[in-house]
Amino acid sequence: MNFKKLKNTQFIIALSLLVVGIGIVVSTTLPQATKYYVTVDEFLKAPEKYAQQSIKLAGRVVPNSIDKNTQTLTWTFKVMESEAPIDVYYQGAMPDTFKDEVDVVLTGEYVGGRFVAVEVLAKCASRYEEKLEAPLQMQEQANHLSSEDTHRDDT
Amino acid sequence: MTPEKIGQYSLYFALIVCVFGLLTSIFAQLKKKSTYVRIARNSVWAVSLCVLSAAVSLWVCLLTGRFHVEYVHQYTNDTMPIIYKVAALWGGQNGSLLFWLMILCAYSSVVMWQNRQKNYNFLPMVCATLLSIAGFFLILINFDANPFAVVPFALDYGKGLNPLLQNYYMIIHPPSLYLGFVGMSVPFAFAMSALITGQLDNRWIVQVRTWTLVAWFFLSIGNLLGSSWAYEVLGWGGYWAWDPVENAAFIPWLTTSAFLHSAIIQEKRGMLKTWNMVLVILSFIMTLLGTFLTRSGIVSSVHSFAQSNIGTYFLVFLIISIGVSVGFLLYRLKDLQSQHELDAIVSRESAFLFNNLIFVGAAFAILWGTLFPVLSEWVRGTKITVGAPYFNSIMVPIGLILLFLTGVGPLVAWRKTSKEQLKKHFVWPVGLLLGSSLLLLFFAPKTSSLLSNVYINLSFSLCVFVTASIFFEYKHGADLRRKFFKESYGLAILKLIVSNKRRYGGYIVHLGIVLLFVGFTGTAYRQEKEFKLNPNQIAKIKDYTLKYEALYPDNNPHREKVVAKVNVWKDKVFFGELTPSVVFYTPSRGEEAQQGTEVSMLRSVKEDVYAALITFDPSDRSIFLKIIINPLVGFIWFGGLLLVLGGVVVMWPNRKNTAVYA
Repeated sequence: MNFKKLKNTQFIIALSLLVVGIGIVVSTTLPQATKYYVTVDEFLKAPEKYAQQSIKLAGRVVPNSIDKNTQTLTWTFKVMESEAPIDVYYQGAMPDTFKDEVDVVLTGEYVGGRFVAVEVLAKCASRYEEKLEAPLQMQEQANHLSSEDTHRDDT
Repeated sequence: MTPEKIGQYSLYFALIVCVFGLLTSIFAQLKKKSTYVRIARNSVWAVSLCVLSAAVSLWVCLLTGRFHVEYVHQYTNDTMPIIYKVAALWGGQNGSLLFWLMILCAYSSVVMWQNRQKNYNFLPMVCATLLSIAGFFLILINFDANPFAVVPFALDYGKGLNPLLQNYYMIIHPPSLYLGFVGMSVPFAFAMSALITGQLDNRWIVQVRTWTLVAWFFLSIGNLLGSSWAYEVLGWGGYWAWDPVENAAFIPWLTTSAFLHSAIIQEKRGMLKTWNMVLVILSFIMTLLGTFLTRSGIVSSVHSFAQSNIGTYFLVFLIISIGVSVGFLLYRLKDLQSQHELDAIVSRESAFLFNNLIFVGAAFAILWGTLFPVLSEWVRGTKITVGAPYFNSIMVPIGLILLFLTGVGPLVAWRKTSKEQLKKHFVWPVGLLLGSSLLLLFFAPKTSSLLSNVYINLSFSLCVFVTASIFFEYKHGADLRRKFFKESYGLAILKLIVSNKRRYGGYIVHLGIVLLFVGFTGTAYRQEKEFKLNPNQIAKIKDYTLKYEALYPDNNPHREKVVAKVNVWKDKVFFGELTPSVVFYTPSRGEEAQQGTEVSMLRSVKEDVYAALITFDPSDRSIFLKIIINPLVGFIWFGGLLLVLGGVVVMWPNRKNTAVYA
């Protein structure tokens, strides 16, 4: 009986060591890898809160704001949500899906009146997100079409 | 009747039959009459036929370009190759839900066929669970995500599938992930049946283990294909980014891996019954949670899905599933007592137990990191994201402990291992472990961080340790066969595998894992550099010399391509030619212009030289070139292949055993 108890104690010690170990690793590494994630509007409400640290900024690329320098591989563009835009500066490779009006998540720091990005993520090519706006858009396109094109009627 | 109408009515009818079947299976459970069981079973087949008819209808719509069906308009167009029109079934949200349902029905039908003459006391509740899941999807598809919705006006063109997705990976990667995700429904159904009916002997675990293996197998393939897609085609330069969508597919893989190990303990020793139930339920819940997270848009991911209300449906279904399964689990808790206790800390049971805890610990650590932004927003009102450094720094030590246990498991005996046995089995593998560690200490290239040097050393020497332990397992078995049956080594090893597929196939899987670890460890030596080059200019990275030779167009009607030709020398010997390019897809009507990057690679066992053309300036033909040296990446794909092969061996039906299971 005592022998069995000893065995159980061994297991409990080993298991708790394991759990505590994982717990320590999680709790020490997590704070180093975290960043604020804010949308452009949220950022503009309290820019001082997010100053002088690397954050993630989500917004939509303002149409016709993209300026690319192929000699220095630098980009400037604006992102906005609903209120005001923010100027963005970025040096490096852009994702293929980056273009006007695409949703982006930028990683970087707000310095001297502009957001200096070190990483740009554009939404991936899966086109699920267009679903919501589609019917209205399509209606417009279709109305436009029916005025200039002849088409077959399937229904 | 038009195909979209046929599809629509099939879905309505499927829902009605599904409800009928659900009621019948509950009735069959209460009355315990085989007639009712058969009716319930037949209704599963009937639902499946309806769903199949709906899927075929959607395929007909997609292939014949019925663009006034909104889904067809969104995801196909006239110029797309036929194969991508077929793949468009899972290219968008609504179609992929129908595809999901179709796989569920296919699995359910197979289960009903396998058990057509047996297990009638199990079957009603298996039916009920599977039909409840199917019912959920049918409600979702019929009322909120209808792939057959038509626009009230005529349309004669489609937007087409994004050219970036028109790749053969699109044909195979999503289906294998879906097969894996949906596959967990079957083990869950058996587990629920065992819990509800209280038949908690070992019969359920045998069925469940086989089906979990199927799910695990496809999850493995799906994840590997996803990595390979990201690496080879999408130009990310890496194969894993700890994106929430990737994590959602990886978490169930971890929990099913845990279950596949602990199920063996239950079969052999009658232990861990509650734990196994928890793992099966957890794995199923994780597939739902993963789908909820990715489809609801509550976590941000590069894989964007609609921010639609189908997330709410999944949340409700998730809560119901957790409530029902945990409820029955608690109700049966007293019947799930172990028949044995752990005898010793150095035993195979305890090695498996630790392996399980680490698998589940890893799953929770990843889940925690994935959910952290959501939780922090709830608790503190600000969204805080967790980046790849967290996942990497936590998964490296966890992975190394797992690797260590992979080597230890086969060497220790069931129940307890004596000191003599320990000595006999461990002396060679441990000797090799220490030896290789010492060699690596002197000869392995060093990185700047001490911790990563320690990890590199541990990882490679543990790989040697595990390989040695597998080698001696095979050798030991083969020696015995040679002694008794006078077989040659080759024949002995072959017969060894055939005679115990689960064990020796499992070792093949482990060997695949070892190769994966070799590949993962190679990442520590990864080098990446961006160069701005003018024609004929030279760049150097590691021991490679690159010369930018020319920029030339390569056009066809579907796309315009600009290719940079770069010659590569290694230590002054010509090594090969890289041709990374930028592609501009010609938009067809209704399509948006899309640009793509085609990477170019020179692959070898030692390392890949990976090139991406970031941009070019047509005026002076200068280019920006990203070069990545990815050491040992090839091991990942080869290891993955071996893992899949081992999976096939383990799953291969055992002719001898089918009679036993019946």
